[in-house]
Amino acid sequence: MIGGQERAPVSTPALSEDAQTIRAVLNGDRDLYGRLYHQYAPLVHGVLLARMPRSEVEDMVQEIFLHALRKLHTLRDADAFGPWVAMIARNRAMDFHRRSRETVEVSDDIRGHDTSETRAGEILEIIQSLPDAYRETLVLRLVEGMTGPEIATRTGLTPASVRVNLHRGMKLLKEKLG
Amino acid sequence: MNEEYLWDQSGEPDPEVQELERVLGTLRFQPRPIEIPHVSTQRNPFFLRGLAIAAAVAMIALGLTVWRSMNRQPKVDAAHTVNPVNQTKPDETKQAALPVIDDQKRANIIATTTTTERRRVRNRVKPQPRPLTATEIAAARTAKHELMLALKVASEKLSFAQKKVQPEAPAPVQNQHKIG
Repeated sequence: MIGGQERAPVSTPALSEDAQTIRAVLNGDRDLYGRLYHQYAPLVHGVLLARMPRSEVEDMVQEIFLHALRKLHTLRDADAFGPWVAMIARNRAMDFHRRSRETVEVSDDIRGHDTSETRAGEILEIIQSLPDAYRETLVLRLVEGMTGPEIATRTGLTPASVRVNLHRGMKLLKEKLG
Repeated sequence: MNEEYLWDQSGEPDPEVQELERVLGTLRFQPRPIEIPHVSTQRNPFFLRGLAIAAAVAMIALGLTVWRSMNRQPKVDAAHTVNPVNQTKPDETKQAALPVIDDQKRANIIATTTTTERRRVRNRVKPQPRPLTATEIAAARTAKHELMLALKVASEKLSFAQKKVQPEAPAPVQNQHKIG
């Protein structure tokens, strides 16, 4: 298992607020769902960005949250919304690749974009070529700006696993960047 | 590389990590409003309950149907049914006139007699066996023929085996002449 995928115990004080929000949403207060969206959209965005072309990610984030809303009643542990929605995102990314088959992916149109975004795209492509556990953690850390503890809390991984993934992922990234 | 900075941005900033954060941060998620449609998020508490009730009713109906089909009595031929109420016994007409009996007593006698007669009739009238169809008769005949054939073959094999096991008895001496 790359980087270790130990799961942290789920119920932590930071997540009980989510449970209350979810309960309220299930009871009909759908507007509160926006809170969950704003809190976990960066996570979903990062998970997708680590696996899919950038051009497909934005719409997919919205789709995933709407899907999660429809299936919210199936969530067994209200404190595990983050890991649950992250898993949905990973599955959607897999479905996307299955549907798109072996098409030659034209990389994001770099013409007209500034240099930093071009460079960002290149680095992202390198990150996407890394092993699964490393690329997701690196994207969440370097793109979405989450800290290691935040990544652990939202994905359900143990801090130790996240730490190992970050360290090894960064080492591989530096080797590929040269 | 400063591991702590990579971990939680604490300690001395790592220049390489900072540069990557700067460049890759341009790809960060930009929040935009989400339109939440009218999606039913509530579990329908009545749906499962109704389904369970319907399933239970279906099971009970099925059980009753099976029970009734198992307990169904064969129909008794109407011609052989004796209506104890209207039955006239041959001796009744020859009997002497009965003493006068009041209505209540008569009703009791009839009820008792009826019950007794019904019991007798029930025991006496046996259900007629269902006549066999032509197909069943033909199948029975075929089975009988095959059984007879099998018995014949078995008998012949037994005789053959017996002959093999027991040596043949010497043939009786015929026309034996005395020598000397």
